[in-house]
Amino acid sequence: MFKGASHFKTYMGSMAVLFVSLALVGCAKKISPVAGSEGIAGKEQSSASASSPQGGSRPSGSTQEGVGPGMGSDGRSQDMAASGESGSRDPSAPSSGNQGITSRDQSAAPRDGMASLEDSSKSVQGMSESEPKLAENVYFDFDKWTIRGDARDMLTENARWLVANSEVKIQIEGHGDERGTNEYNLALGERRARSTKRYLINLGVSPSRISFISYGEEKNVCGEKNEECFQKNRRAHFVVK
Amino acid sequence: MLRYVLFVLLGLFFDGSVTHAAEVFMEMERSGFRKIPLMIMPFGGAPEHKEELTIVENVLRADLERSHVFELIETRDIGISADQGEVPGSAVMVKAAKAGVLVIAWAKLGTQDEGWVLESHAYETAKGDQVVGVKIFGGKNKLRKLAHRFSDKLTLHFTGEKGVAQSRVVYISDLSGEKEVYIMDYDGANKMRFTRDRSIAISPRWSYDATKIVYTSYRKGNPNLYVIDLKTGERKEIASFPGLNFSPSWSPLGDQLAFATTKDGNAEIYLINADGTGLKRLTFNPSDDLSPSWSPSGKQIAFTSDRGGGPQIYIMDADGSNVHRLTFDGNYNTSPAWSPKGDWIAYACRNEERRLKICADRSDGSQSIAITESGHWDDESPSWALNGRELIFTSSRFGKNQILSIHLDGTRLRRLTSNPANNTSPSWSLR
Repeated sequence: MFKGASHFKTYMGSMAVLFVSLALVGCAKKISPVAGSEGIAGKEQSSASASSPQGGSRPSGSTQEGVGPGMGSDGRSQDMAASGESGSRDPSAPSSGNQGITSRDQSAAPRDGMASLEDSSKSVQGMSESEPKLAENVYFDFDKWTIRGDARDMLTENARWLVANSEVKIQIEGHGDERGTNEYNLALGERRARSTKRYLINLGVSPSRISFISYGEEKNVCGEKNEECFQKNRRAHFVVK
Repeated sequence: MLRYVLFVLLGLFFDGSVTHAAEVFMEMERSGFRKIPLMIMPFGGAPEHKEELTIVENVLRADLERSHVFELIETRDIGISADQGEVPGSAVMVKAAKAGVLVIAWAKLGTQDEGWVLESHAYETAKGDQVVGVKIFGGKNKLRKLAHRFSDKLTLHFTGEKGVAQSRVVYISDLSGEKEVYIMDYDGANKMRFTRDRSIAISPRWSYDATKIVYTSYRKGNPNLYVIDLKTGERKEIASFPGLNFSPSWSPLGDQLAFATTKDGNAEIYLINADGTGLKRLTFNPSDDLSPSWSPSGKQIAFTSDRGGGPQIYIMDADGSNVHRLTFDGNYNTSPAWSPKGDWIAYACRNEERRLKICADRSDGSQSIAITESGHWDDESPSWALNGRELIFTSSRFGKNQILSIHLDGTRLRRLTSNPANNTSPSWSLR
């Protein structure tokens, strides 16, 4: 089959090493979504940034309400398992980003937007005094623009942040990896940006605060030809305007 | 032997709809065309122009070799001593004719008004008749162009078809750090940076008469469509709708462009006049429709659409009617390029290893071929030569993206760029 399988093994291996090292340190103090990505894209970045609002405190399941599986190793490995099969996971997924919001059994994305969002943002404030930050990137599967499970967590955090900082306007940049053709990737990048915007709108963020632009594969952040790099490039990137 | 058997066995299992490129070539050339044996006699000229003479001769030799109209026969191989640079005399004609040479090409280089003049001649050896005789003038820095013009004269005379030696390639390079439009000769010489937008430039395309270039630029933030007139240097913004304005294609008459924009919520194909007026929508589909390419008759447009799930190549009439699907092999076929002869549509096809390759289908759908070989790299962005037999494309086989040319039969691969930058999205001029 595709080399995805072998990548998956390496992926699992490096994740395990990384998690142990994280556990030894206690917790990542501040892992910025971009800088903290030790060559492991997507999932790991999202969990790292999901933990950043808690500052130095060890993440516990309770703070992840409405965000998905807790931060325990179980939750991580489930997420990783999901990402490992990026090629095969999504075929049945709806092609419209709207339906991407329908929560999977373990990721309890809010159904009625604001209400549950406010609940969970309270719980975040209750846990920590440190100010949450806007996550910079959410990641996508190969050739897909549906919002992944890990991206839901981050987008929920971002929507929370945007609701709390109502004066801020953002632009979502849609990007693709280098493997498609340039023109098709422009269209794909825009679909990613649009589905990301739609997800935030459904979480209660005003549409007028969100603009978007597609760069296709023209502004890649990672230049090597391997799946880790490809994954880093398949992203919706948030820019505060 | 074992290998051979294996091949045959494998062949049995493969779908017969994808034929090997070599077979097609045999079919294409079955009309009985044989290369014309041609000999270049050393050019004449002043001793102080020895260096320039060598350049012109070598460029002509390379052009004729590439044309695959001529088979080059060297003087030394048939025992003709030729170091004088003289007009070929009757003795040379007879000797060459006996050795199978049909045509002798010879020229004399001189200067005139700060520039060069190449007195170019071709003789048929059978009767000793001069069949081409023309004075070609060129500026000081146009030495190579003199040879290209001589080559195209020869191709036109002996085939009745226009040669490609004077054609040029417009492409994108990030050599300066930003993605800018560049232009080079068809053989990779004279590379020149064309834009200084300091932004991102995408998909430059020659107009049919090669007097204008259209491309997408983010120079104002939004990806808008611009036309640059090469004569005046004037740049005109012709489409600036919110969202993407991209993947342009000139109509054969040069009065209109087909392009895609996402202003309606997803990519749709529109027509617009070259001056930015007269917008007309052609596709109405919630899927993405993009990358249009006109047929040389101007009656049809090939394009990419993912209305069937993944991206595939479709064809519609130039008014948007009669849409039908062209490609069915594989789940990712994009970037169609309609041959200027009308018979083939080349495109980027993704294989089982998730690698992009260059494929082509007959425009009537009767045949599908793979042009570039399999391997762990991507080939994309095909663009045709005027003769409809050669293509240029982008390949990552050397690490960075580089521009290569190849014959429709998958042979004669040539590399046109080799700098340390990414060189992509080539468009081959049709004159």
